[in-house]
Amino acid sequence: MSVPVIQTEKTNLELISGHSKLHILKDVTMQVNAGEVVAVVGPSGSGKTSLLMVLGGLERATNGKVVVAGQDTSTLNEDGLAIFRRKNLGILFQNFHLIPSMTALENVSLALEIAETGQSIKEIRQAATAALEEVGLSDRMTHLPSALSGGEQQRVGLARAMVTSPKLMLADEPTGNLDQDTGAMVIELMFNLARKKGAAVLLITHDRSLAAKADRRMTMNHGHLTTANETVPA
Amino acid sequence: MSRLRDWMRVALIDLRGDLRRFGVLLACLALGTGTIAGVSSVGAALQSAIMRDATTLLGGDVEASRADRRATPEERAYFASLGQVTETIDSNARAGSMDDSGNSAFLDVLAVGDNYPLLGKVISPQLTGDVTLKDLLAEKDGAFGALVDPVILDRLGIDIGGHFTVSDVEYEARGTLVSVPDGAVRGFHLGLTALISIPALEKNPDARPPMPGLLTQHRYKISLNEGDYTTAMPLMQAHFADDSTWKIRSPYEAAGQLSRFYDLFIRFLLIVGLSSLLVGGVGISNAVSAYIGERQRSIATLRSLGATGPRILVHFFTQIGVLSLVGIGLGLLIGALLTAAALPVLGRILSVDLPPSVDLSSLAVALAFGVLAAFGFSYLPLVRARKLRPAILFRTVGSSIQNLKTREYLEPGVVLPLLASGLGIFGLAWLVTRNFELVFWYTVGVIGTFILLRVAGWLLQAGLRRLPPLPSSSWRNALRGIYRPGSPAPVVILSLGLGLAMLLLISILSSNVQSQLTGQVQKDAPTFVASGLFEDEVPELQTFLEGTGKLQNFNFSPSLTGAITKIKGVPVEDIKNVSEETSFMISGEIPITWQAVPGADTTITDGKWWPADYDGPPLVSLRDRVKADLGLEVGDKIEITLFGDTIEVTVANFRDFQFQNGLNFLVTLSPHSLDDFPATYLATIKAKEGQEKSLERDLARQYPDLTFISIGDALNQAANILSQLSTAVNIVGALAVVNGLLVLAGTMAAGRKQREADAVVNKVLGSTRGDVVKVFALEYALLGAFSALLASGVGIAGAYAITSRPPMDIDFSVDPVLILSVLVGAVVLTIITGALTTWSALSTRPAQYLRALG
Repeated sequence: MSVPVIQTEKTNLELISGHSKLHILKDVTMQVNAGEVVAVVGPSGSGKTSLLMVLGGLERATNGKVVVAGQDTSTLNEDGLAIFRRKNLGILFQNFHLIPSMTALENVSLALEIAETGQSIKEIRQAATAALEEVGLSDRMTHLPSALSGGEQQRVGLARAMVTSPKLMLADEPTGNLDQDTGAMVIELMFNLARKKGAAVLLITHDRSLAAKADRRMTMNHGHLTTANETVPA
Repeated sequence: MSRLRDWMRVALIDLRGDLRRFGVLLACLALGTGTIAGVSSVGAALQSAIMRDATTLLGGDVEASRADRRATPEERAYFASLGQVTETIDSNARAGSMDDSGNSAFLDVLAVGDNYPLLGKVISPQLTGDVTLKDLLAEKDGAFGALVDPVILDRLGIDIGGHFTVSDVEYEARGTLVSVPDGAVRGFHLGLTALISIPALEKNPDARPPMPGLLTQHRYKISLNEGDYTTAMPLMQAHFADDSTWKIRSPYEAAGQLSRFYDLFIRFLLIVGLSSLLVGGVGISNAVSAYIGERQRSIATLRSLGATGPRILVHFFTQIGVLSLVGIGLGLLIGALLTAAALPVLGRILSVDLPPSVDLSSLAVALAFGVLAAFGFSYLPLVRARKLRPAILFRTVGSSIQNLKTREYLEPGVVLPLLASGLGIFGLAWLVTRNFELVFWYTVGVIGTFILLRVAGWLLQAGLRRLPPLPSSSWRNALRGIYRPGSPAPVVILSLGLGLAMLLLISILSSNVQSQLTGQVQKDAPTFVASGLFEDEVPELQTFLEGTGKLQNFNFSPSLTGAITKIKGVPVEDIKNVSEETSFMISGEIPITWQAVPGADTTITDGKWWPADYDGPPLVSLRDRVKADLGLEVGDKIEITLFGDTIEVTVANFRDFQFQNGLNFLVTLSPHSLDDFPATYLATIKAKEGQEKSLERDLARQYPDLTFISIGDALNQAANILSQLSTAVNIVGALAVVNGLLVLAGTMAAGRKQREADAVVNKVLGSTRGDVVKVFALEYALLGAFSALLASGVGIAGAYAITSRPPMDIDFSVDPVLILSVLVGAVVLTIITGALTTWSALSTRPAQYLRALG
């Protein structure tokens, strides 16, 4: 029996822009199970990133049910959502969002520091070192983000997202700022790591070739999740 | 606890890296704190130097005096228990030559004890090497020594070493007297000064002032063992509670007229200090806000990783705390170094002793204020940052830090820390100024200004939004830059307006206080007073003086002596506990005059001056200071005894005047009131600058029988002090303004990130660097001019409110050139800072910049 990591039911998101109301997500119903790799594709402005934000507790759904890792996120306040994220989620951004003043090792350690796992500083450093080795950056640990290439920065981001062993990895166009080869390598790495650690992945992308590497593909269009359970042919 | 330590450790790691990113924050903190430390230190040093001069002027920390007798042995012992004491006795006497020439001179006798002076020096060419004053004044071969005004030698026809007598006591002129350190506070003295010893004066115990109305004063100047006059005076007043004849004076009070100007100076320093705190605070606030704004993506990243609100607060508080301490430390260092370097230079300009020093209390105030301001002004941006939602990480350029909702401001966690820091700052200002009322009203003014500027900024944006589009694209873009959502305009208007208002307030106050001070200095103080002139001698003297070519000004007035015997029917003997001036007025025979029209420097404060051709019942005009002392009103009756006759006069008016401005009498009657009494004339002579001594010798040669009393020295001393104060005001004011402008420049630079982002977008859209800079220059010129306009109103209103009422209460005027130059300077500075920071962004390639935005 599969354990659902993401469960939404008739989830809506409405935002106010100036004097008008924008209906971003429309009755989205979906389920992603543990260890499953799912890609969400769709044109720009279709609501992909908004879906990711709602799932990550970064944006509150206007109505409908959102349960992630068994937690109904609508019941949590901002700090509750923060704690929820550090326990359950890893997030990978298009623009990497590494802390510029911290080295690669410190950026990865930061996730463990914030997660307050009870590890000592030494243990945290060991875990962060191991995470960086897993993404092939053992020789870049003491480099600041400004001294790393885009691909290397994204791999640091990946190590940071995975180091806490999250139940769910949310990735928003993680290859958007990378060349095709590097992007493919990062996606490969992410999927492998997720599968190894048993984490579910929700990948937002408009690149259908990348989406093809996922276990399952969903399509967003005008706020509707039009194909919620399209299995990618093997 | 360990969790907090972990949070702080990560925050410190996050501080590492390129320190240039903290440059503006550190500069603003350093400048803000440096401004407070510098202005406060220089002010404190000047105040203490001038106070020290005032103490020297008095000849001690505190002075006890009485007219009727010397101190008893018990009283002397009491004074001695407080500190070192020296005694002086002021009196008048006529000196005669020892030969048959009949030469004589009217002396202002200053008899001093062996240890005179306690402070400062007696200046005499003969006081050189090992020669002491005590030696020079001692009795030798039956003659007492005297240091005399050189004119006495001319009058008596003797040289140094020559002998003369005073009431049969023989003196030897052992040297000439240039000055005594406490000359300026001895009050108005008739005669040429002769410095003698108290034993010499005691030789002639029957000596009485030969001119009626002149008082003998016995003064005891005390250099306190501990504390200052503020602690000693209440003790002394309590000690002499049963004997009101003793007058206890502080250096300020001793400075008489000057004390008001000391007060003025100190109040000016307080306002400057408060304004520096405020301008420094504005700088710190904007720097912290800009820093938080620039770090919002890092904040959002932390949030996305699961950092809670308290952790964000601790993280950035730790960073702001460390940066603040570094900035504040730098500011203290800059303030201390600059103060130490500047003081000797200022001392030379001001002719006061200002050794290089660091005023620790000023640094402590700057430190405390810096910490409180950094906390108070960073708390709100941090609270807002805590509420920042990490959704920003999925968006592009733009701010995600939103203002709090009204109810959020009222949450205890928000309002209490803010209230605490506000009260801390208020308390600190109160502690520094020791003036609750001033700080309270100043705070009310600042809050009022804050609201005004906020509302004005909002109205400007609303107004511009409604304007039809302008044909010029530069203007259109500049205006859009002001009213677009997220525009920095409201913050710029608030900071610049508040800062400029304070700078204008200081500038206007400085110029008003300065003109009040220099106004006192520049007025025509007479060089000599000639008394006892007969009516026909007056035009003759005038003709002679004009012929010398050394005369600047000549005035004369009838003069005779009379005694006020009753006031409102009460004999003057029964009137006690009055001020020194009133005490002099009712002490016996005093000079009295009549006048048809009031003097040029006279202000009628109550009642009316009589018509020039008035010939009715006798009226009198009195100095306004005696009014409250004696409970007098216009219409009250006063009895005056002249040559054995009594006349009753009615008070017609009270007036204010400055003695040093020329001829003036405490008691002035209406014309024809004194027709039945023989009057002589009193004339004032003002020599051209540098011609004083030469004219004095001409007069001594031409009129050997007339007495010309030099009153220039004491007034020169007073004038020097006024001039010192005036220059000090100017220097402190200029220092505060320049520092304030630097703080504002830093404030403008603090918002550069947003401008850089806008500039790059414009460049990407095809604008040239010139176009972009032009739009920014226009936008900032408009904002600068708008802020300057509001600031002018606030600054002028504030300065008027402060100057127009007690305790400052001085004439108010606004120098348009001054205001214009401060405003133009500020607007130009705004444009240059805005343009420079924009230019730096434009110098990088857009692609590079846009990538860095990630």
